[in-house]
Amino acid sequence: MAKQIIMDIKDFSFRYAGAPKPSLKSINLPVYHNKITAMIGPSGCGKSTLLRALNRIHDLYPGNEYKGEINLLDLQNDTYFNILKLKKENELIRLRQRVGMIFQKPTPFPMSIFDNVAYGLRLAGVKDKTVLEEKVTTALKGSAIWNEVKDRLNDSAMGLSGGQQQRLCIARAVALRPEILLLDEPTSALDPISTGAIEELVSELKKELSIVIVTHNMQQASRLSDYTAFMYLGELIEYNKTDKIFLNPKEKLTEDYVTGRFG
Amino acid sequence: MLTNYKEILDKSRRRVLALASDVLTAYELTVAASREGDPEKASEARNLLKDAHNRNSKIDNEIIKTLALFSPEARDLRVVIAYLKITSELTRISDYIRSYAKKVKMQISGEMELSALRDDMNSFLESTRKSLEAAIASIEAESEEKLENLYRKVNVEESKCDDIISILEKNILQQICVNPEDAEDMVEFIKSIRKLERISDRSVNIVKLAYFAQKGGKLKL
Repeated sequence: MAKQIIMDIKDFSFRYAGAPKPSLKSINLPVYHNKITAMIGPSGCGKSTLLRALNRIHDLYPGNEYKGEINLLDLQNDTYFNILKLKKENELIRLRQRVGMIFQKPTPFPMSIFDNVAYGLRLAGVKDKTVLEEKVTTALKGSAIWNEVKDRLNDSAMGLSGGQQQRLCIARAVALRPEILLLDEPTSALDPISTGAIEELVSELKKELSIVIVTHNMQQASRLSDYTAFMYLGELIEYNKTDKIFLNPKEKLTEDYVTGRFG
Repeated sequence: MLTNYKEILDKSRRRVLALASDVLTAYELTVAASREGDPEKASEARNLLKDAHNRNSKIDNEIIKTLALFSPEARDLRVVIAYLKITSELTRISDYIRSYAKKVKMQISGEMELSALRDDMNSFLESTRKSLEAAIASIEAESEEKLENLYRKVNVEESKCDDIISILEKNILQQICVNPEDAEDMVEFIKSIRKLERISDRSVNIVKLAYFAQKGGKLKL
């Protein structure tokens, strides 16, 4: 099967409210279906800003300025629509169900493990208790945390370890069956064992969905992703298959960054 | 271990083992060609190894990719380095076999008279085969005990090869003294068996690399 672009970012620029200059300048980047795309670059290069634009989470604060297109593929009818044209709140909520997000620090809700995963499902209109239980179980199993929590689903999620909380957050996002999952440095606050568990989970999840991950850890980008985008000062310097970026980058700037000569 | 990391390691392992298996088969075909006077088998052996260098390059590139993307450490790193160097040893062995297979075709066509050396030659070829076979088995050896047995076996067969080569050289010199007109052929023959003798030397390297991959320590080839 030919590679399919699930999200196509075209000539995209972004300026924060009140900022004198845009933080992202004319970004062109494809996100392939069932692949992991890593975004790397030094602090302040705009990778998290770009990631947060992909599900319009910036819009939680007003006044930001978008230019260009971010086209999301509708897998049902094989057509793209520009998510930058969405205006209504309910459209944006629907977008964030389709394009889920995981943050650097785990963000469990102060409620039970079960309710954490069921929360989004209830918001999405799932009322039937049996269906809810089935979907929560599937999400927890799919997020490789089921065995650790199956006997304490009614316990508070706050009692889980950092790594477990992060996997719970992934389960919460996965329960809504998103088409894309955005991960913003999902392991930077975790120990190596939890990091390994999350990485294995992410590499399994790509069979079901497409993933974009922002990471400062170059080894994580290299071992996990299929494609890598290197950003610098708000520009996309180089995008290619991960092995090309880490073995034979075309741009000197990319080579200098991946070899640790700057940044 | 990440699935893609495991896949890339397994792929390199399969490629190394496939090359090793073809090297052993080609060696056996060459020996059979010599014993049975069948030039077809010598050609078959040469064909089997004709793209050994390309296969070597593929494995090298796969390993470079593994090093670049996955930064293996400890045992994983030793295994990857061992694959890289074992492939190089196998490729050299394949060169010796191809070269010898060419000479075998000349022997079969009657251009060389070697009947007086037949017994020693057979012993030498058999020890070489055993050393190569044991070295290849060591790549897959899982237990320490099995690896140590194979290590000993390769070293014993390599010593035998050295001894038989000395006997063969002495006999060849005697034959040259009796029939000086055979001198040129005999020198050619010595050259070819000297190359073959390196197979057991390289087999020792392979088993040392397999040992390094499993047990660690410093590489000494």
